[in-house]
Amino acid sequence: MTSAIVHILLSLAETDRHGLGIAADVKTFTAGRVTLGPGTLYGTIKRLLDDELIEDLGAPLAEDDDPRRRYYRITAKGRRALEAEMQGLTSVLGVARRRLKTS
Amino acid sequence: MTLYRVLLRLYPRAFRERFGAEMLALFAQTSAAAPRTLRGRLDLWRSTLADLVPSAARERLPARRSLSMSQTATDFRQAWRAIARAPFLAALVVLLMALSIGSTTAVFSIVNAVLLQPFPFARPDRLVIVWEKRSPENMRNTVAGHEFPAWQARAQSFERLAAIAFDREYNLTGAGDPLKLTNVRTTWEFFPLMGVPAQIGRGYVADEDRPGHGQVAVISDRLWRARFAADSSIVGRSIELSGIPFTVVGVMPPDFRFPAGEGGADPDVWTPIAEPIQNYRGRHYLSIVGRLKDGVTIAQAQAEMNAVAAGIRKDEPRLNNGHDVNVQPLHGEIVAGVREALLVLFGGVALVLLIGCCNVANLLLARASSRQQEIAVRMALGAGRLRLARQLLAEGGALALLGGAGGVLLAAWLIAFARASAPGDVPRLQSAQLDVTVLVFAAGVSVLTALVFGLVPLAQVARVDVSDRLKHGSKGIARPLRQPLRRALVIAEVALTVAVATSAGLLLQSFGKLMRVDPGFRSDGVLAADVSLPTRYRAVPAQRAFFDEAIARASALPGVSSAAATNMVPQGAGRSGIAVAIEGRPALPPEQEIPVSFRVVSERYFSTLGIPLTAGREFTPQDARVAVPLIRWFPQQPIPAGFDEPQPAPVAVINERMARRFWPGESPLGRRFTVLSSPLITVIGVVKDSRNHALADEPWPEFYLTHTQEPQARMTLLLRAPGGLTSLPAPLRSAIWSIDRDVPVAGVRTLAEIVDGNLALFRAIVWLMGAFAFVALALMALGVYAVVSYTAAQRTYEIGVRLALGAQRGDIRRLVLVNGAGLALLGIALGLGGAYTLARLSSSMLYQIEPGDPLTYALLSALVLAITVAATWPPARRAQRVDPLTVLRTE
Repeated sequence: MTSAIVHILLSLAETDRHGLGIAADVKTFTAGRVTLGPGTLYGTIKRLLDDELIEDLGAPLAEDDDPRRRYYRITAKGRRALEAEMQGLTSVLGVARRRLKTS
Repeated sequence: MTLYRVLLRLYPRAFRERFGAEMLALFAQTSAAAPRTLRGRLDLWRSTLADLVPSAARERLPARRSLSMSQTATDFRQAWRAIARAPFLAALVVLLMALSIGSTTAVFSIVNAVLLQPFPFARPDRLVIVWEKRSPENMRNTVAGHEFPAWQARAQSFERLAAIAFDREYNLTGAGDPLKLTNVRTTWEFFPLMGVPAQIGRGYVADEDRPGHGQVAVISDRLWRARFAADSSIVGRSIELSGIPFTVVGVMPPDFRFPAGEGGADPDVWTPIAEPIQNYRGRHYLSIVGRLKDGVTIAQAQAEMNAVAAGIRKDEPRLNNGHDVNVQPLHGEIVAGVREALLVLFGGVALVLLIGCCNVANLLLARASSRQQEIAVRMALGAGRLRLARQLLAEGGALALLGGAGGVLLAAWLIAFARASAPGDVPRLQSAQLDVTVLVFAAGVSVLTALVFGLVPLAQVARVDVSDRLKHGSKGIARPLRQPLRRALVIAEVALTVAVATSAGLLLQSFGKLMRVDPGFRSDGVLAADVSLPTRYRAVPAQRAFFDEAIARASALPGVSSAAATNMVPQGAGRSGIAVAIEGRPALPPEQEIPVSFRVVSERYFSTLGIPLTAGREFTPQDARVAVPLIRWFPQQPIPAGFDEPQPAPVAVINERMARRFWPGESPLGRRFTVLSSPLITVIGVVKDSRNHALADEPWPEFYLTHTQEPQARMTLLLRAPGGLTSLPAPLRSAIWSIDRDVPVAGVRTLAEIVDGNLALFRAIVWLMGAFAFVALALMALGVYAVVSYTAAQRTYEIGVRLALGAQRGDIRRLVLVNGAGLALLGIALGLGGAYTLARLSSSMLYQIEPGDPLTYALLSALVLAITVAATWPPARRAQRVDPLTVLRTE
């Protein structure tokens, strides 16, 4: 699971978002450290759709939204994959903390 | 915005249709948020490309589901990220690679075209030129009429021998303005021997080379296009050469330009010699080309020809005393003049390539040291060595790809530039093309450098315990592999730079000295124009009358202060060498003959060119003889009419060198000598030496005859006009054409242009070597700066401790400077040897300076040292300003 996948899934775990929304959210919750460029963002979205980790909601939800925008929602499969990844990361983090004796 | 829209095309169509609009929107947002400064824009595009290129590649890769492909894509995406993180360094590496690959390829392509590429002849390695040899100094004489048929009859080493004569000049008449042609006469064997078929028609055959049958001509592609509109019906038609009708039998292909005429001019017309050659006994007028039989080496042919020459000597003791034979490969003879020049250039460019590679390696090593931490982290997180190696190779590969692409562009541009700006007399330069072999070689060398040194971080990490590396982070502890390597690279760079710089220095000084040489004549303010008379001026007195009239009319042109003529313009092509026999002295054996050059000039030649008379008198109109010409070139030539009538004595003006050589310590005035079959010629005057052959060549002993005694069918008019020359050519042509509309006036140029044109090749080499030296010095400075800065940065901790323990700041600066100077001195010491080797290679091009000139070596070593110290200065200053408190606290 690449870091872009993790970030997008994390963003969608909160609520349904469109592409621009995901980019803005990721930027916010990583305090600006991670910027998803258009290519990475939509390339990853495409891959997540193919793997059925997220689903395409299609048309805008609200009236004032730009009709070009499409909303995405995390699937149950996606949520499970994200949780599995987080568990793995947590154990790596534990090892890293012990071995590096930092933080 | 538009640019991004275009870049989106990198993605597959389906992807673009699905996400394109949204991607544009996101880009617009990012773009709007980025600062509107140059820096901001650059950052924006850097991050955009870093996002776009790898993701597009990923979408494009068809089998991205397969493990290895997706890994490759990841490799390149990560490589791109790594590059984008340190864009300046990456750009520098790419630039260096492009420079090295581009310049090496361009220069080698030119060397290859001019020196190494086979000629457009069939199996050119079997072709030789056979000269007559008189003495070790006189190796390349033309061959006499009685010798060539004897060689043909006796020599077994050759499939064929053909004779070439440059003795007849034709003007193309009866087709527009009269055009002076470069005409070559050959025996019929020439075309089958060269093995190049005509593009239309054929070469002439044996039957057409019989005396009385030679009215056929083969013309060049250039003449065919220029004057006959590339009309293929030219074959079989009659053209007029100096008023004589010739039937065109063939047109040669465009790349067949052999043999070159006077001044390296491409031949326009080939005609059969068609005369009883064997009757021209003792007349040395033939150049011989031969094709060796299969399996016969040049040495074997030389040995056989030695025997043949000995046989002819026995049969013709009077004519052939001391005549030997010299067999040379044709290829070497054609490129003789430019060989050293190109070798020196190639040496220079190869060294620059090496310096460039050293620098690329150095930069990659510097980069490697900053990557160690990252790689250690990755390994700790479970990345396999293979995986990391793949990624590092991908990075090296990406850099190499960009550098290579830049190199190709640069090489193509440099070759185009060389073709457009080089002097016209470099043979075959115009056929220079980007040479793929060299490109592959140069690119290979630098790509290998990039890949090998790109892998260094992995090698370093492999030697170090991972956790140890992680713990110590950036602290300056021993770097077992990298330091000696980087220092060795810098030392090599300094050494190579010294070699390039001294070579350039020696050439530059040679050029400077050459420019200060006094040619002995004043070339400024003189216009030259070649005038060659059509065959109807065959009667020698008619030639004299024409030029007398031409000089008179030229003198009368407005602005012209004096006018004269000569058969050989100073420092023009060619040199006449002839043996003189002094009255009352025994004839010298052939190997001791002193070659003397001679010129035929008109009255006022010396004053027009500003050549001072030091004794005696110049030619006057009263010297005109009834019986012309003076010199009979071979004994069978008839004695001219009126020889027994009372008339002025044959006279000559000689240069000071000839006076010193033949009449040392006495006055040469009134002394007499003969040339070939001539009457006794009396010396009437002595002029200062002038460098009539080339600026760099010491003048030979030389005598001048007057055209009123030795008329010429072809002379160069010389007009001195103090007020400027630009308005002269048109009136000069009209003046000549007012005498005879059929006389071509060619090669109108200033004398200064002729002198300068001879220096063009040398000047180009000096410029190029100077440029190489400059690039080498710049690269070296960069390399030294990088290594010393890095070392100093690595020692920050140590320096902090030293300062804390009471070291003076001056000591610290000295420490760093000594570090740099040490590298430089070692490099210079090593470089001097290489410099001498390179200088020896170019020794034939050096003028009045020894290849081991100590002053040049000392000065350039000092310059290199100064530059290294200057490059060491900024890191030394930085080290000096280290704050011990900060350093110790952070570490």
